[in-house]
Amino acid sequence: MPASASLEADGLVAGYGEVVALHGVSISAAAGAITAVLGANGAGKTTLLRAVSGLIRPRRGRVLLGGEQVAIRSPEQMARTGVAHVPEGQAVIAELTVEENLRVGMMARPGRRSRSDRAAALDQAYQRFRPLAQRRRKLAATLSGGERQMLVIARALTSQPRVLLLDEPSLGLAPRVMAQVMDLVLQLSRENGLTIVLVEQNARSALAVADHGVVLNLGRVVASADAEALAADVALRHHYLGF
Amino acid sequence: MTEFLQFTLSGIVFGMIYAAIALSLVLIWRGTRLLNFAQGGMAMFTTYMAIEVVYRTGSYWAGFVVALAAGLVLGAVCELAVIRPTLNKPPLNAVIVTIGLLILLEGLAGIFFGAQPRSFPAAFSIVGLRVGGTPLGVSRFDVFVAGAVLVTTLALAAAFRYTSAGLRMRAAAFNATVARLSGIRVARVITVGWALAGLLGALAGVIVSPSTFLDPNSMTRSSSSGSPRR
Repeated sequence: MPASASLEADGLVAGYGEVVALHGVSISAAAGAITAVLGANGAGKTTLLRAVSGLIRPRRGRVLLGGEQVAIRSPEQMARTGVAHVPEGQAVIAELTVEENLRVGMMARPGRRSRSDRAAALDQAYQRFRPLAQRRRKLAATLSGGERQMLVIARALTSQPRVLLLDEPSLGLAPRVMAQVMDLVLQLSRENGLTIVLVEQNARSALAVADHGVVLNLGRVVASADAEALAADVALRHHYLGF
Repeated sequence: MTEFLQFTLSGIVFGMIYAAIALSLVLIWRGTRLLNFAQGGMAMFTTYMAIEVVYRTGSYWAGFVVALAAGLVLGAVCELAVIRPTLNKPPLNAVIVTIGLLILLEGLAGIFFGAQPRSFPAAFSIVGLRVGGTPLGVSRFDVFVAGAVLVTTLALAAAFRYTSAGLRMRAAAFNATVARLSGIRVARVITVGWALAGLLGALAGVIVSPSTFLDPNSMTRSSSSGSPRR
Protein backbone atom coordinates (compact mmCIF):
# COMPACT_ATOMS: atom_id res chain seq x y z
CA MET A 1 0.00 0.00 0.00
CA PRO A 2 1.35 3.48 -0.81
CA ALA A 3 2.29 5.45 2.27
CA SER A 4 -0.37 7.61 3.86
CA ALA A 5 0.20 11.31 3.52
CA SER A 6 -0.74 14.34 5.52
CA LEU A 7 -3.37 16.61 4.05
CA GLU A 8 -3.49 20.35 4.45
CA ALA A 9 -5.97 22.86 3.18
CA ASP A 10 -4.73 26.41 3.29
CA GLY A 11 -7.14 29.33 3.01
CA LEU A 12 -9.72 27.55 0.86
CA VAL A 13 -12.45 29.73 -0.58
CA ALA A 14 -15.17 27.84 -2.41
CA GLY A 15 -18.87 27.92 -3.13
CA TYR A 16 -21.68 27.38 -5.57
CA GLY A 17 -22.49 30.16 -8.00
CA GLU A 18 -23.02 33.34 -6.02
CA VAL A 19 -23.01 31.56 -2.68
CA VAL A 20 -19.68 31.35 -0.88
CA ALA A 21 -19.68 28.34 1.45
CA LEU A 22 -16.05 28.40 2.59
CA HIS A 23 -14.45 31.70 3.61
CA GLY A 24 -10.76 30.82 3.78
CA VAL A 25 -10.71 27.50 5.61
CA SER A 26 -7.39 26.04 6.74
CA ILE A 27 -7.15 22.59 8.23
CA SER A 28 -4.29 20.21 8.76
CA ALA A 29 -4.78 16.45 8.92
CA ALA A 30 -1.74 14.58 10.19
CA ALA A 31 -0.59 11.44 8.38
CA GLY A 32 -2.07 8.29 9.87
CA ALA A 33 -4.44 10.18 12.17
CA ILE A 34 -8.18 10.76 12.23
CA THR A 35 -9.20 14.39 11.89
CA ALA A 36 -12.86 15.05 12.61
CA VAL A 37 -14.52 17.98 10.85
CA LEU A 38 -17.59 19.01 12.81
CA GLY A 39 -20.29 21.62 12.73
CA ALA A 40 -23.97 22.21 12.13
CA ASN A 41 -25.82 21.88 8.83
CA GLY A 42 -24.53 24.46 6.38
CA ALA A 43 -21.22 24.92 8.20
CA GLY A 44 -19.32 23.98 5.04
CA LYS A 45 -18.13 20.49 6.00
CA THR A 46 -19.25 18.77 2.81
CA THR A 47 -18.10 21.70 0.68
CA LEU A 48 -14.65 21.39 2.24
CA LEU A 49 -14.41 17.74 1.15
CA ARG A 50 -15.80 18.56 -2.28
CA ALA A 51 -13.21 21.29 -2.75
CA VAL A 52 -10.35 19.01 -1.68
CA SER A 53 -11.45 16.15 -3.95
CA GLY A 54 -11.98 18.42 -6.94
CA LEU A 55 -15.77 18.06 -7.20
CA ILE A 56 -15.88 21.84 -7.03
CA ARG A 57 -13.04 24.12 -7.99
CA PRO A 58 -11.72 26.18 -5.06
CA ARG A 59 -11.60 29.88 -5.94
CA ARG A 60 -8.63 30.53 -3.74
CA GLY A 61 -6.32 28.63 -1.45
CA ARG A 62 -4.05 25.62 -1.73
CA VAL A 63 -4.23 21.93 -0.97
CA LEU A 64 -1.08 20.09 0.08
CA LEU A 65 -0.72 16.34 0.03
CA GLY A 66 2.28 15.05 1.97
CA GLY A 67 3.56 18.62 2.16
CA GLU A 68 3.46 19.09 -1.61
CA GLN A 69 0.98 21.38 -3.29
CA VAL A 70 -1.40 19.66 -5.71
CA ALA A 71 -3.14 21.48 -8.53
CA ILE A 72 -6.82 20.57 -8.31
CA ARG A 73 -8.09 20.06 -11.83
CA SER A 74 -10.79 17.40 -11.55
CA PRO A 75 -12.08 14.69 -9.22
CA GLU A 76 -10.66 11.95 -11.45
CA GLN A 77 -7.22 13.52 -11.25
CA MET A 78 -7.45 13.89 -7.44
CA ALA A 79 -8.52 10.23 -7.15
CA ARG A 80 -5.47 9.27 -9.18
CA THR A 81 -3.31 11.42 -6.89
CA GLY A 82 -4.47 9.31 -3.93
CA VAL A 83 -7.36 11.26 -2.45
CA ALA A 84 -10.34 8.94 -1.95
CA HIS A 85 -13.59 10.80 -1.29
CA VAL A 86 -16.51 8.77 0.02
CA PRO A 87 -19.53 11.05 -0.43
CA GLU A 88 -22.47 11.03 1.94
CA GLY A 89 -25.51 8.87 1.41
CA GLN A 90 -23.87 5.45 0.91
CA ALA A 91 -23.28 6.16 -2.74
CA VAL A 92 -22.96 2.68 -4.18
CA ILE A 93 -23.55 2.20 -7.90
CA ALA A 94 -26.81 0.33 -7.40
CA GLU A 95 -26.95 -1.11 -10.93
CA LEU A 96 -23.57 -2.82 -10.61
CA THR A 97 -22.71 -5.88 -8.57
CA VAL A 98 -20.77 -5.68 -5.33
CA GLU A 99 -17.64 -6.92 -7.06
CA GLU A 100 -18.04 -4.49 -9.95
CA ASN A 101 -18.34 -1.64 -7.45
CA LEU A 102 -15.04 -2.73 -5.92
CA ARG A 103 -13.42 -2.99 -9.35
CA VAL A 104 -14.57 0.56 -10.10
CA GLY A 105 -12.62 1.62 -7.01
CA MET A 106 -9.48 0.17 -8.55
CA MET A 107 -9.78 2.34 -11.67
CA ALA A 108 -7.99 5.15 -9.86
CA ARG A 109 -4.61 3.56 -10.52
CA PRO A 110 -5.10 1.22 -13.46
CA GLY A 111 -1.71 1.47 -15.11
CA ARG A 112 0.37 0.53 -12.13
CA ARG A 113 -1.51 -2.57 -11.06
CA SER A 114 -1.03 -6.10 -12.25
CA ARG A 115 -3.82 -8.65 -12.47
CA SER A 116 -2.60 -10.50 -9.37
CA ASP A 117 -2.29 -7.24 -7.47
CA ARG A 118 -5.91 -6.43 -8.29
CA ALA A 119 -7.05 -9.89 -7.27
CA ALA A 120 -5.19 -9.48 -3.99
CA ALA A 121 -6.89 -6.13 -3.36
CA LEU A 122 -10.30 -7.78 -3.91
CA ASP A 123 -9.39 -10.61 -1.54
CA GLN A 124 -8.30 -8.13 1.06
CA ALA A 125 -11.58 -6.25 0.78
CA TYR A 126 -13.58 -9.47 1.16
CA GLN A 127 -11.58 -10.51 4.19
CA ARG A 128 -12.13 -7.26 5.92
CA PHE A 129 -15.78 -7.06 4.90
CA ARG A 130 -17.13 -10.62 5.19
CA PRO A 131 -20.77 -9.81 4.35
CA LEU A 132 -19.64 -8.36 1.02
CA ALA A 133 -17.84 -11.60 0.12
CA GLN A 134 -21.11 -13.52 0.34
CA ARG A 135 -22.86 -11.02 -1.88
CA ARG A 136 -20.16 -10.37 -4.45
CA ARG A 137 -22.36 -11.33 -7.41
CA LYS A 138 -25.45 -9.51 -6.10
CA LEU A 139 -26.45 -6.06 -7.27
CA ALA A 140 -25.43 -3.33 -4.84
CA ALA A 141 -29.09 -2.23 -4.88
CA THR A 142 -29.95 -5.30 -2.79
CA LEU A 143 -27.64 -4.39 0.12
CA SER A 144 -28.77 -2.97 3.46
CA GLY A 145 -27.72 0.51 4.56
CA GLY A 146 -24.85 -0.77 6.69
CA GLU A 147 -23.62 -3.05 3.91
CA ARG A 148 -23.75 -0.17 1.46
CA GLN A 149 -21.64 1.94 3.78
CA MET A 150 -19.18 -0.96 4.02
CA LEU A 151 -19.13 -1.25 0.24
CA VAL A 152 -18.40 2.44 -0.39
CA ILE A 153 -15.58 2.41 2.15
CA ALA A 154 -14.23 -0.85 0.71
CA ARG A 155 -14.44 0.66 -2.77
CA ALA A 156 -12.39 3.65 -1.63
CA LEU A 157 -9.83 1.34 -0.01
CA THR A 158 -9.28 -0.70 -3.18
CA SER A 159 -7.90 2.48 -4.74
CA GLN A 160 -5.11 2.34 -2.14
CA PRO A 161 -5.57 5.95 -1.15
CA ARG A 162 -3.06 8.14 0.64
CA VAL A 163 -5.90 10.09 2.26
CA LEU A 164 -9.47 8.96 2.92
CA LEU A 165 -12.23 11.60 3.06
CA LEU A 166 -15.40 10.26 4.71
CA ASP A 167 -18.57 12.33 4.53
CA GLU A 168 -21.15 11.46 7.19
CA PRO A 169 -20.57 7.71 7.18
CA SER A 170 -23.01 7.25 10.07
CA LEU A 171 -25.88 9.11 8.39
CA GLY A 172 -29.07 7.09 8.24
CA LEU A 173 -27.66 4.01 9.93
CA ALA A 174 -29.05 2.16 12.94
CA PRO A 175 -27.10 2.94 16.15
CA ARG A 176 -25.52 -0.50 16.30
CA VAL A 177 -24.38 -0.33 12.66
CA MET A 178 -23.14 3.19 13.22
CA ALA A 179 -20.93 1.96 16.05
CA GLN A 180 -19.52 -0.70 13.72
CA VAL A 181 -18.69 1.94 11.12
CA MET A 182 -16.91 4.08 13.73
CA ASP A 183 -14.96 1.01 14.89
CA LEU A 184 -13.94 0.41 11.31
CA VAL A 185 -12.75 4.02 10.91
CA LEU A 186 -10.66 3.64 14.05
CA GLN A 187 -9.24 0.34 12.85
CA LEU A 188 -8.26 1.77 9.46
CA SER A 189 -6.30 4.50 11.17
CA ARG A 190 -4.70 2.44 13.96
CA GLU A 191 -3.94 -0.76 12.06
CA ASN A 192 -3.43 0.49 8.52
CA GLY A 193 -2.07 3.92 9.34
CA LEU A 194 -4.52 5.57 6.95
CA THR A 195 -4.95 9.34 7.04
CA ILE A 196 -8.67 9.98 7.55
CA VAL A 197 -10.70 13.17 7.41
CA LEU A 198 -14.03 12.36 9.01
CA VAL A 199 -16.94 14.75 8.46
CA GLU A 200 -19.72 14.10 10.95
CA GLN A 201 -22.87 15.65 12.31
CA ASN A 202 -22.72 13.23 15.16
CA ALA A 203 -19.92 15.06 16.98
CA ARG A 204 -19.94 12.88 20.07
CA SER A 205 -19.17 9.62 18.29
CA ALA A 206 -16.74 11.29 15.87
CA LEU A 207 -14.70 12.82 18.69
CA ALA A 208 -14.63 9.44 20.43
CA VAL A 209 -12.51 8.01 17.62
CA ALA A 210 -10.72 11.12 16.31
CA ASP A 211 -7.25 12.33 17.22
CA HIS A 212 -7.90 15.91 16.22
CA GLY A 213 -11.04 17.93 15.68
CA VAL A 214 -11.91 21.00 13.65
CA VAL A 215 -15.17 22.87 14.15
CA LEU A 216 -16.64 24.84 11.25
CA ASN A 217 -19.37 27.44 11.51
CA LEU A 218 -20.80 29.29 8.49
CA GLY A 219 -17.76 28.52 6.41
CA ARG A 220 -15.07 29.45 8.92
CA VAL A 221 -12.93 27.47 11.36
CA VAL A 222 -14.02 28.38 14.89
CA ALA A 223 -11.99 25.79 16.80
CA SER A 224 -9.17 23.35 16.10
CA ALA A 225 -7.73 21.21 18.87
CA ASP A 226 -7.12 17.71 20.19
CA ALA A 227 -10.28 15.65 20.08
CA GLU A 228 -10.21 15.22 23.85
CA ALA A 229 -9.84 18.93 24.45
CA LEU A 230 -12.78 19.66 22.15
CA ALA A 231 -14.94 17.05 23.83
CA ALA A 232 -14.11 18.60 27.21
CA ASP A 233 -15.00 22.14 26.15
CA VAL A 234 -18.55 22.44 27.40
CA ALA A 235 -19.24 25.91 26.01
CA LEU A 236 -18.03 24.96 22.53
CA ARG A 237 -19.98 21.73 22.57
CA HIS A 238 -23.09 23.61 23.53
CA HIS A 239 -22.68 26.31 20.96
CA TYR A 240 -21.64 24.40 17.89
CA LEU A 241 -21.87 20.68 18.43
CA GLY A 242 -25.20 20.22 20.15
CA PHE A 243 -24.24 17.82 22.90
CA MET B 1 -48.54 -20.66 -44.09
CA THR B 2 -45.95 -19.58 -46.64
CA GLU B 3 -47.01 -16.00 -46.27
CA PHE B 4 -46.75 -16.26 -42.51
CA LEU B 5 -43.18 -17.54 -42.83
CA GLN B 6 -42.22 -14.83 -45.32
CA PHE B 7 -43.56 -12.00 -43.22
CA THR B 8 -41.99 -13.39 -40.06
CA LEU B 9 -38.55 -13.71 -41.61
CA SER B 10 -38.57 -10.34 -43.35
CA GLY B 11 -39.97 -8.82 -40.16
CA ILE B 12 -37.02 -10.18 -38.24
CA VAL B 13 -34.64 -8.61 -40.73
CA PHE B 14 -36.33 -5.22 -40.48
CA GLY B 15 -36.35 -5.57 -36.71
CA MET B 16 -32.62 -6.09 -36.82
CA ILE B 17 -32.10 -2.82 -38.66
CA TYR B 18 -34.23 -0.96 -36.14
CA ALA B 19 -32.33 -2.70 -33.36
CA ALA B 20 -29.05 -1.27 -34.68
CA ILE B 21 -30.56 2.23 -34.84
CA ALA B 22 -32.10 1.87 -31.39
CA LEU B 23 -28.83 0.64 -29.94
CA SER B 24 -26.98 3.66 -31.29
CA LEU B 25 -29.57 5.97 -29.70
CA VAL B 26 -29.54 4.07 -26.42
CA LEU B 27 -25.74 4.16 -26.14
CA ILE B 28 -25.89 7.94 -25.91
CA TRP B 29 -29.12 8.02 -23.92
CA ARG B 30 -27.72 5.75 -21.22
CA GLY B 31 -24.40 7.55 -21.07
CA THR B 32 -25.66 11.12 -21.00
CA ARG B 33 -29.48 11.10 -20.78
CA LEU B 34 -29.56 12.82 -24.15
CA LEU B 35 -31.73 11.83 -27.10
CA ASN B 36 -29.47 12.43 -30.07
CA PHE B 37 -31.64 13.86 -32.82
CA ALA B 38 -28.61 13.98 -35.10
CA GLN B 39 -28.18 10.20 -35.03
CA GLY B 40 -29.95 9.74 -38.34
CA GLY B 41 -28.04 12.62 -39.87
CA MET B 42 -24.73 11.11 -38.81
CA ALA B 43 -25.70 7.75 -40.29
CA MET B 44 -26.89 9.42 -43.50
CA PHE B 45 -23.59 11.25 -43.87
CA THR B 46 -21.44 8.15 -43.38
CA THR B 47 -23.63 6.23 -45.83
CA TYR B 48 -23.05 8.93 -48.47
CA MET B 49 -19.32 8.60 -47.86
CA ALA B 50 -19.68 4.87 -48.38
CA ILE B 51 -21.59 5.41 -51.64
CA GLU B 52 -18.87 7.67 -52.99
CA VAL B 53 -16.22 5.10 -52.12
CA VAL B 54 -18.23 2.26 -53.64
CA TYR B 55 -18.76 4.15 -56.90
CA ARG B 56 -15.14 5.25 -57.15
CA THR B 57 -13.40 2.03 -56.19
CA GLY B 58 -16.05 -0.41 -57.32
CA SER B 59 -15.62 -2.26 -54.08
CA TYR B 60 -18.61 -2.62 -51.78
CA TRP B 61 -16.47 -3.67 -48.85
CA ALA B 62 -14.17 -0.65 -49.13
CA GLY B 63 -17.29 1.51 -48.78
CA PHE B 64 -18.55 -0.60 -45.91
CA VAL B 65 -15.30 -0.22 -43.97
CA VAL B 66 -15.10 3.51 -44.73
CA ALA B 67 -18.67 3.99 -43.45
CA LEU B 68 -17.94 2.26 -40.13
CA ALA B 69 -14.62 4.08 -39.65
CA ALA B 70 -16.22 7.40 -40.56
CA GLY B 71 -19.02 6.66 -38.09
CA LEU B 72 -16.53 6.18 -35.27
CA VAL B 73 -14.68 9.39 -36.10
CA LEU B 74 -17.82 11.44 -36.76
CA GLY B 75 -19.34 10.34 -33.44
CA ALA B 76 -16.25 11.33 -31.49
CA VAL B 77 -15.84 14.62 -33.35
CA CYS B 78 -19.50 15.60 -32.85
CA GLU B 79 -19.24 14.94 -29.13
CA LEU B 80 -15.99 16.85 -28.70
CA ALA B 81 -16.90 19.82 -30.90
CA VAL B 82 -20.61 20.25 -30.37
CA ILE B 83 -21.82 18.41 -27.27
CA ARG B 84 -18.89 18.98 -24.89
CA PRO B 85 -19.52 22.74 -24.63
CA THR B 86 -23.09 22.04 -23.42
CA LEU B 87 -21.84 20.00 -20.46
CA ASN B 88 -22.92 21.53 -17.13
CA LYS B 89 -25.52 23.61 -18.95
CA PRO B 90 -29.30 23.06 -18.77
CA PRO B 91 -30.12 19.68 -20.40
CA LEU B 92 -32.26 21.30 -23.09
CA ASN B 93 -29.16 22.99 -24.54
CA ALA B 94 -27.69 19.68 -25.63
CA VAL B 95 -31.00 18.61 -27.18
CA ILE B 96 -31.25 21.80 -29.23
CA VAL B 97 -27.63 21.42 -30.26
CA THR B 98 -28.28 17.92 -31.64
CA ILE B 99 -31.15 19.32 -33.71
CA GLY B 100 -28.79 21.99 -35.03
CA LEU B 101 -26.25 19.30 -35.81
CA LEU B 102 -28.87 17.37 -37.75
CA ILE B 103 -29.74 20.43 -39.86
CA LEU B 104 -26.05 21.09 -40.45
CA LEU B 105 -25.34 17.52 -41.58
CA GLU B 106 -28.39 17.45 -43.86
CA GLY B 107 -27.34 20.77 -45.37
CA LEU B 108 -23.76 19.65 -45.92
CA ALA B 109 -24.95 16.39 -47.49
CA GLY B 110 -27.09 18.37 -49.91
CA ILE B 111 -24.09 20.52 -50.87
CA PHE B 112 -21.58 17.68 -51.24
CA PHE B 113 -23.69 14.81 -52.47
CA GLY B 114 -26.82 16.44 -53.95
CA ALA B 115 -30.41 16.01 -52.87
CA GLN B 116 -31.36 13.36 -55.45
CA PRO B 117 -32.27 10.04 -53.89
CA ARG B 118 -29.48 7.56 -54.62
CA SER B 119 -29.64 3.83 -54.62
CA PHE B 120 -27.23 2.03 -52.39
CA PRO B 121 -25.86 -1.35 -53.43
CA ALA B 122 -26.33 -4.46 -51.33
CA ALA B 123 -23.44 -6.66 -50.29
CA PHE B 124 -25.05 -9.85 -51.50
CA SER B 125 -27.83 -10.87 -53.82
CA ILE B 126 -31.19 -9.38 -52.98
CA VAL B 127 -33.00 -12.15 -54.84
CA GLY B 128 -35.28 -14.01 -52.47
CA LEU B 129 -34.05 -17.34 -51.16
CA ARG B 130 -36.13 -20.42 -51.81
CA VAL B 131 -36.35 -23.74 -50.13
CA GLY B 132 -37.58 -26.40 -52.52
CA GLY B 133 -39.35 -23.83 -54.65
CA THR B 134 -41.03 -22.05 -51.69
CA PRO B 135 -39.90 -18.40 -51.36
CA LEU B 136 -38.74 -17.53 -47.83
CA GLY B 137 -39.25 -13.79 -48.15
CA VAL B 138 -35.62 -13.06 -47.35
CA SER B 139 -32.53 -12.72 -49.51
CA ARG B 140 -28.90 -13.54 -49.01
CA PHE B 141 -28.34 -9.88 -48.16
CA ASP B 142 -31.08 -10.04 -45.51
CA VAL B 143 -29.25 -12.93 -43.88
CA PHE B 144 -26.10 -10.82 -43.88
CA VAL B 145 -28.00 -7.91 -42.28
CA ALA B 146 -29.37 -10.08 -39.49
CA GLY B 147 -25.99 -11.67 -38.91
CA ALA B 148 -24.09 -8.37 -38.86
CA VAL B 149 -26.45 -6.79 -36.34
CA LEU B 150 -26.52 -9.90 -34.19
CA VAL B 151 -22.74 -10.19 -34.09
CA THR B 152 -22.26 -6.48 -33.37
CA THR B 153 -24.86 -6.48 -30.61
CA LEU B 154 -23.46 -9.56 -28.93
CA ALA B 155 -19.91 -8.21 -29.19
CA LEU B 156 -20.99 -4.94 -27.61
CA ALA B 157 -22.89 -6.70 -24.84
CA ALA B 158 -19.87 -8.86 -24.07
CA ALA B 159 -17.55 -5.84 -24.07
CA PHE B 160 -19.83 -3.96 -21.69
CA ARG B 161 -20.12 -6.92 -19.38
CA TYR B 162 -16.66 -8.44 -19.32
CA THR B 163 -14.04 -5.79 -20.10
CA SER B 164 -12.75 -3.08 -17.82
CA ALA B 165 -13.47 -0.46 -20.49
CA GLY B 166 -17.08 -1.71 -20.44
CA LEU B 167 -17.21 -1.45 -16.66
CA ARG B 168 -15.93 2.12 -16.91
CA MET B 169 -18.71 2.97 -19.37
CA ARG B 170 -21.39 1.41 -17.19
CA ALA B 171 -20.09 3.09 -14.03
CA ALA B 172 -19.97 6.46 -15.79
CA ALA B 173 -23.50 6.02 -17.13
CA PHE B 174 -25.07 4.94 -13.84
CA ASN B 175 -23.30 7.35 -11.50
CA ALA B 176 -20.97 9.90 -13.05
CA THR B 177 -20.00 11.48 -9.71
CA VAL B 178 -18.93 8.22 -8.10
CA ALA B 179 -17.16 7.23 -11.31
CA ARG B 180 -15.18 10.46 -11.35
CA LEU B 181 -14.33 10.13 -7.66
CA SER B 182 -13.00 6.67 -8.52
CA GLY B 183 -10.62 8.11 -11.08
CA ILE B 184 -12.65 7.32 -14.21
CA ARG B 185 -12.26 10.02 -16.87
CA VAL B 186 -15.98 10.31 -17.56
CA ALA B 187 -15.59 12.90 -20.33
CA ARG B 188 -13.39 10.50 -22.28
CA VAL B 189 -15.84 7.66 -21.67
CA ILE B 190 -18.65 9.77 -23.13
CA THR B 191 -16.58 10.48 -26.25
CA VAL B 192 -16.06 6.74 -26.69
CA GLY B 193 -19.82 6.23 -26.26
CA TRP B 194 -20.53 8.70 -29.07
CA ALA B 195 -17.93 7.03 -31.26
CA LEU B 196 -19.58 3.64 -30.74
CA ALA B 197 -23.00 5.16 -31.41
CA GLY B 198 -21.59 6.64 -34.62
CA LEU B 199 -20.30 3.21 -35.60
CA LEU B 200 -23.65 1.52 -35.00
CA GLY B 201 -25.50 4.27 -36.83
CA ALA B 202 -23.14 3.85 -39.78
CA LEU B 203 -23.80 0.12 -39.79
CA ALA B 204 -27.55 0.77 -39.74
CA GLY B 205 -27.13 3.23 -42.61
CA VAL B 206 -25.41 0.82 -44.96
CA ILE B 207 -27.78 -2.04 -44.20
CA VAL B 208 -31.04 -0.10 -44.42
CA SER B 209 -30.24 2.08 -47.44
CA PRO B 210 -30.48 -0.67 -50.11
CA SER B 211 -34.19 -0.91 -49.28
CA THR B 212 -35.00 2.78 -48.69
CA PHE B 213 -32.80 4.74 -51.12
CA LEU B 214 -30.50 7.36 -49.68
CA ASP B 215 -31.25 11.07 -49.52
CA PRO B 216 -30.30 13.69 -46.94
CA ASN B 217 -33.42 12.94 -44.87
CA SER B 218 -33.78 9.22 -45.37
CA MET B 219 -31.88 8.09 -42.28
CA THR B 220 -33.75 10.50 -40.02
CA ARG B 221 -36.98 8.88 -41.20
CA SER B 222 -35.58 5.45 -40.36
CA SER B 223 -34.26 6.72 -37.03
CA SER B 224 -37.62 8.07 -35.93
CA SER B 225 -39.05 4.60 -36.39
CA GLY B 226 -36.14 3.15 -34.42
CA SER B 227 -36.38 5.59 -31.52
CA PRO B 228 -36.79 4.04 -28.11
CA ARG B 229 -40.33 4.62 -26.82
CA ARG B 230 -39.96 5.99 -23.34
